[in-house]
Amino acid sequence: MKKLLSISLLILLANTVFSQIVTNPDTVCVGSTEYYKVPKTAGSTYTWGIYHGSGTIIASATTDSINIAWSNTAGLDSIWVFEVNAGNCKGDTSKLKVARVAKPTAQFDNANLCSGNILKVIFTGYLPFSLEYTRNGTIIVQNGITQNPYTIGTQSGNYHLVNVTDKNCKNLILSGTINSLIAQPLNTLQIIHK
Amino acid sequence: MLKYICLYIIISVSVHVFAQKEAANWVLPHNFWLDFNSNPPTQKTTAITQQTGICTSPMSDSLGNLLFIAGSYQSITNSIIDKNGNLISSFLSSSQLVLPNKLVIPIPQNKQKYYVFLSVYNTDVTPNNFGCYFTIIDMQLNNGLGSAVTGSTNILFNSDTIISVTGTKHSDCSGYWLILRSQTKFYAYLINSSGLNLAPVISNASSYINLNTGFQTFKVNPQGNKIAETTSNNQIICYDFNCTTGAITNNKIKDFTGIFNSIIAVEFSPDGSKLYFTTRNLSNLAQLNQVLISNGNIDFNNLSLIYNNTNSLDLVHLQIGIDSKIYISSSLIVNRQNFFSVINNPNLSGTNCNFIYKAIIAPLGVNFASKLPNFISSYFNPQACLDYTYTINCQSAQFTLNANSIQSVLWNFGDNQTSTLLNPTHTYVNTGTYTVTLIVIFTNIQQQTVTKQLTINPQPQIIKIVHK
Repeated sequence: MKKLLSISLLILLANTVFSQIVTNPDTVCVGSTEYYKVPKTAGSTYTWGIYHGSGTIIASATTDSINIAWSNTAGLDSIWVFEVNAGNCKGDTSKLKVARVAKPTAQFDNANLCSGNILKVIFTGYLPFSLEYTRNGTIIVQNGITQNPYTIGTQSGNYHLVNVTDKNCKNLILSGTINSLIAQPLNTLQIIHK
Repeated sequence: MLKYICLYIIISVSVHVFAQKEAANWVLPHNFWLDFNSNPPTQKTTAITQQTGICTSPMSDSLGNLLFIAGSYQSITNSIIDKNGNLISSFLSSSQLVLPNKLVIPIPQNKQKYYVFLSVYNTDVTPNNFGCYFTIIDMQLNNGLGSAVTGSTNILFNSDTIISVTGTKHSDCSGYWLILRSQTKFYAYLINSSGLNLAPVISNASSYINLNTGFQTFKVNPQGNKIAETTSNNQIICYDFNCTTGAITNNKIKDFTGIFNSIIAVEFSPDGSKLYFTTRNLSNLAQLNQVLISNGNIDFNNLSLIYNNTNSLDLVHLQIGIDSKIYISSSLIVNRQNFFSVINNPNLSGTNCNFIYKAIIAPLGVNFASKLPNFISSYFNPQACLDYTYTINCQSAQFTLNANSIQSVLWNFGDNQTSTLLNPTHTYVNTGTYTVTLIVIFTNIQQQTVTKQLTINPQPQIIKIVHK
């Protein structure tokens, strides 16, 4: 009987401590605009907020859904919301932790290679990656890349990186070494004696 | 049965008297003041300079504090003065009607603004000056003493031969009707939160008023559904007033020639069931017992003579007070003081109405010349719009009572909890739908009950934020 009471007490304590939803951090890209929603109850109003202000709530903050424009810096923050029903009863505040992560990057390990050399791409971000690049103007998409650096190959041509997507974000590649050339094999030089 | 006995006991022991007292101060001509904040009313003389014989319409707040008076000021015949006797605004006309020609009506849902109406009938000037004017007073101005609203003073809105004004509530319990009597017509103007609707409902009257041949009065009953007037031909005419549409119809005329001579004035009992009238040359007070009967007609033969003497002008004008008694003024006769006679229980038939001759005698020298103040008739029927509102704040509810002249209240919140406070707050332990019953006992001992249901909702559940 005593044991049962203890268990009940623990359950009660646990319910009290964790009465507000504790969620795993939700991940968003820096600079992105994201949509958040709670179940709607007729007659209720909802009040939303962002603890550390690293995002901006777009449009009404009293409806059951909002859009948040997150800042361009990586970091952690939390969204909170509470409901006030038609009888003016305020519910507990619910939170959602949010991790703002940097966008992935990709660049070639070398801008110019000789024929026979291996062209590789070096990523930042979280596996797996998807990579879109061109070779001599032809678009090539490679999904499910789980290696970093990733080997493109040795085929000669003009290579250009277009965008990269990691587990969380997509990024148009705008900087770094995004062009590379694997030269054509050279003909054997003939030595001429004049 | 035991439950009801207990309720009655609780109500009976509630000693506080709650009242909305907009008609609590009768500031009369010649600086005489009856203050109905006490029972019986207290006689006061005031520094508020009022000419003798000029009709007044004093306005008080719901707690009985005098706000301002539509009356006269020194040599200015028709003016509006603050509670300290200072001039707020003057009407341009100096018309001196013997009938109630001023009336104050609040602007609904705006507790600080009031219309002051003045009817004028002035044949002493050329061209003759007829009609009805208004000025709006805003009590928020002049440090709370009130001032006329710029651009809203002396506005002529009816140019007919307006003789007298009265008013009552609209059936929605929010708006008011301003009713004007011209020589041949009635004009009913609706006043709501948007202000005065300048398109009146016009109804024909059954009699032509000739001010040179006699005095006449007209009154609306406190219930707002009957109008009675006297004519210079010893007639009493009753009409139906539709307080939804403003139409005045179904006139019933009784000629009392041979029974009474020179009928002057009328007044309804607070419950609207009786109509009292007075005569001029011999002082008679009579009661018509069945004013409100089922088919809308009036039994003019069900008549009681309440009092008579051979004096002239002992009993002139009649007016209900917020104590639900009817006060009857005398005219000043040489070597005699002004006085009031009182009908203590005007809802009762015959001599049971308990008429007291010369119940209140004014100080020597005071001459209010039989003039009584003019009020909206609905102030004397608190039951008409008894209602309460509530706002729910989660588990608790704040109740607000809307009624006049309350003796005591009993709230039953539907969860076996009660209160005798006027505007209580109650916290419910459990969620659910409750039937809240309010029992009100009015100062006239009548009782009324209002029942409503309210729902206490459960607290919102914990909600999960979804990122899409």
